[in-house]
Amino acid sequence: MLILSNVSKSYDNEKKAVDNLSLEIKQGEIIGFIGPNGAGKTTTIKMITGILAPTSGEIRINGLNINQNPIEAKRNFTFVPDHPTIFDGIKGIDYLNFIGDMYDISVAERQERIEKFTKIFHIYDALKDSISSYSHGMRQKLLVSGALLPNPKLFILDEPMVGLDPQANKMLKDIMKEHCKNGGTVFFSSHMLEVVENLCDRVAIIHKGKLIACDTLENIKKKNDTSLEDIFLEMTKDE
Amino acid sequence: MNKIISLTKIQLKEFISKYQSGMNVKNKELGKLLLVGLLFALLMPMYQISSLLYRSFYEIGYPELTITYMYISTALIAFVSSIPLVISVFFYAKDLKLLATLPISENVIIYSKLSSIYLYTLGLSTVMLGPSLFFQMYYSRQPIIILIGIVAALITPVIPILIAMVLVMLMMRFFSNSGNRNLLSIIGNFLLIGVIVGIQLVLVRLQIRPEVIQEMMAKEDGLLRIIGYRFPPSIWLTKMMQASFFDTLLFLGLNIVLLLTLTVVAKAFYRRALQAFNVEGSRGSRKGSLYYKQHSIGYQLVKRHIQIILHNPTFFLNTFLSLLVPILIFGINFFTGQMSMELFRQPALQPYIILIYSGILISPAVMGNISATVISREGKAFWETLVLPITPQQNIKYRVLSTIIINLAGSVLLGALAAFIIPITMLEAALAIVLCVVVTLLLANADIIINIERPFLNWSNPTAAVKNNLNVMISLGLRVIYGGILFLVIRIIAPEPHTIAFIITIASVIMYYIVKALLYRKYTKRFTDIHI
Repeated sequence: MLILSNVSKSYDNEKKAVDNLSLEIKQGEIIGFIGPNGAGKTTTIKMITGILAPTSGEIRINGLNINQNPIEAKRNFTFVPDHPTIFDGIKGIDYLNFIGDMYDISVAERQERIEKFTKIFHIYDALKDSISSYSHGMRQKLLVSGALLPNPKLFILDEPMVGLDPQANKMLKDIMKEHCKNGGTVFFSSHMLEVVENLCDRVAIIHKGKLIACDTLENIKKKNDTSLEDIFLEMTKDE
Repeated sequence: MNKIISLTKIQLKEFISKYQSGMNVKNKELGKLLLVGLLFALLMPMYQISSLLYRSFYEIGYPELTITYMYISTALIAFVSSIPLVISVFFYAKDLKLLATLPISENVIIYSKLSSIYLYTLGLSTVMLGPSLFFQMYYSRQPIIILIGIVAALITPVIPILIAMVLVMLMMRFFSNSGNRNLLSIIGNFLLIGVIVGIQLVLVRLQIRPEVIQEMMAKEDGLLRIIGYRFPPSIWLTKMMQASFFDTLLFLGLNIVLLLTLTVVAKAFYRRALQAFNVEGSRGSRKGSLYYKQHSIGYQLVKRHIQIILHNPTFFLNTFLSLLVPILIFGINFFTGQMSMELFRQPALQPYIILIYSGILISPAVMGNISATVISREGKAFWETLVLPITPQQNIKYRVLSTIIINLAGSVLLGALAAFIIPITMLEAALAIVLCVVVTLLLANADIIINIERPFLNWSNPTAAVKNNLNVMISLGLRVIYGGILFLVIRIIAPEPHTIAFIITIASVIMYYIVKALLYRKYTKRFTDIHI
């Protein structure tokens, strides 16, 4: 579903924010992408989603190169960023209809899915309100609902749990699991190791722009025989 | 005192650094050079105007009236441009939440924030009023006048800023309690500008009444009083520059009184205005009903860009004031009788009617360079359209289209108003409309190239996105260059007015296709490379 081949990104042609990263994610998987602050997680996600172009390497989504076939590739995924900065001069329902039109969702389907997700996240009653009146968590929930609206093959989230209340956190985790059960794929970055530990089929660890591990939790633990937190701290400690 | 100095330093540093990043010049020295060059380019025409006025007034024995004239214009422009700036800095800046939690009084916040507005307006007033003050200082050759001139130059922006501050503060306090703060801010500010223009109109009408003129002319400084009637501080400043102690007291006194008024208003209203403003921000509107409707991608994207302007009072005022300037000038001239049906029916003007009408039609596109900031206005929300399954060409196209819609709406309004008083034939009107559409298309496409070259997405307050931004100056510069080239060509060929309109149309069609090709070939790649 998602293949990154030798992807690198440099902002100043000197230091590489992402360095020769290769990764393959299969359909139906939930992959957690972890790394310390400034490791290159967000840059990688920005390249996958087409916000940034890689300096070198190739990214394919469902077989489509994001830089050569951006429109077709983008129809296969949706994205929730690490901070819910969106144009907030409109109502929640305007935003969801906007997303629905961008992905060409029929009226019947959008009504069913909007009601489903916004009711799960308890923002259905706030859809008539201006987004400027939403709290951080409500905006995050709106973004997640919007991203789920097109029923994407690949669901990409950057730090999705930040700002969500425990209830919404649980809902989101359930939705991610259900999405994979229905044939979707989830790729998300997080700092919350216990979430990654409990939710993911595989974990990818990035440090200083390089992918230092990508395996199932069992395999990673087999090699180290300790908790993910200890493994993470050991792997990412500075020499 | 330390708090206010410390906070003012931070505000000024932020203003200067944001201004520099708005200029988007990596080399700091080059940036400074560019700023000086820009000031010089603006100063030159103002110097010419002041020099012409000075010579004219000198010939009738009142050279000091140059100051009166220029100060009235400066104060009006400084006041009008201060309003969106005050709203932006005091109610939409990103540091407000932090400042509200600090153990400092309202006055400290207000005076420190005023410093950046003062700096901006000082630049404006130096450019506009500076030359006339300079003439007075230079020709008087008295040290006291030079000293007074320097003081006058420094305090000139204070009165218009303080009046704008007090009025906006009061308005925001009361309007922000109501349902839709943005809409009310916009309406309130339009009313404010309307009232000021209205007062000006009434005073101009009073002034032109023969008995008032006779009464004033009977006094020793009658001419000064006639010119300065609309804005008495202009009389005081003029006399202050002639070393009148009493008028210096009056002028400085007004500054102090306004400063004290602001202190009182700030204490009573600012924190409550800000709180009311923030409460409204977190209050749901719950209007309308849920709907599920399908629209085209184009409709949604154009709607989004227009809504971004409508939602933010600073963007709205900035956009529509620049579109409204021609309408205001037109309205003022019409209502004061300086522009009338009789004037346009004069035989000497008949051949030029098509050019006059075309000029009126294209004025919104020339003044409103909305495309030059269409990407910047989105700020950090720019990522939203980048991840959508739309082509960069579509992303650019609908931004340009939103500008064209707004500009043409202004042109339609002006065209309809002008058609009532300008005797234009159907054929001439048709040619003028074609010219207007072509020029609007050309400028909207050219301006977005500037914004793609210089996207400015990390701004601290909305004014930085649309006003304190070199893109706007570059865009105006492009118009001057294009207009200058056309003027030279027309001067050389010297055709009759209808041919001039035809030449401008053809030249603009050719330029439009060149700019469009450049935009959708070269600049699409640049657009996709914009970093957030």
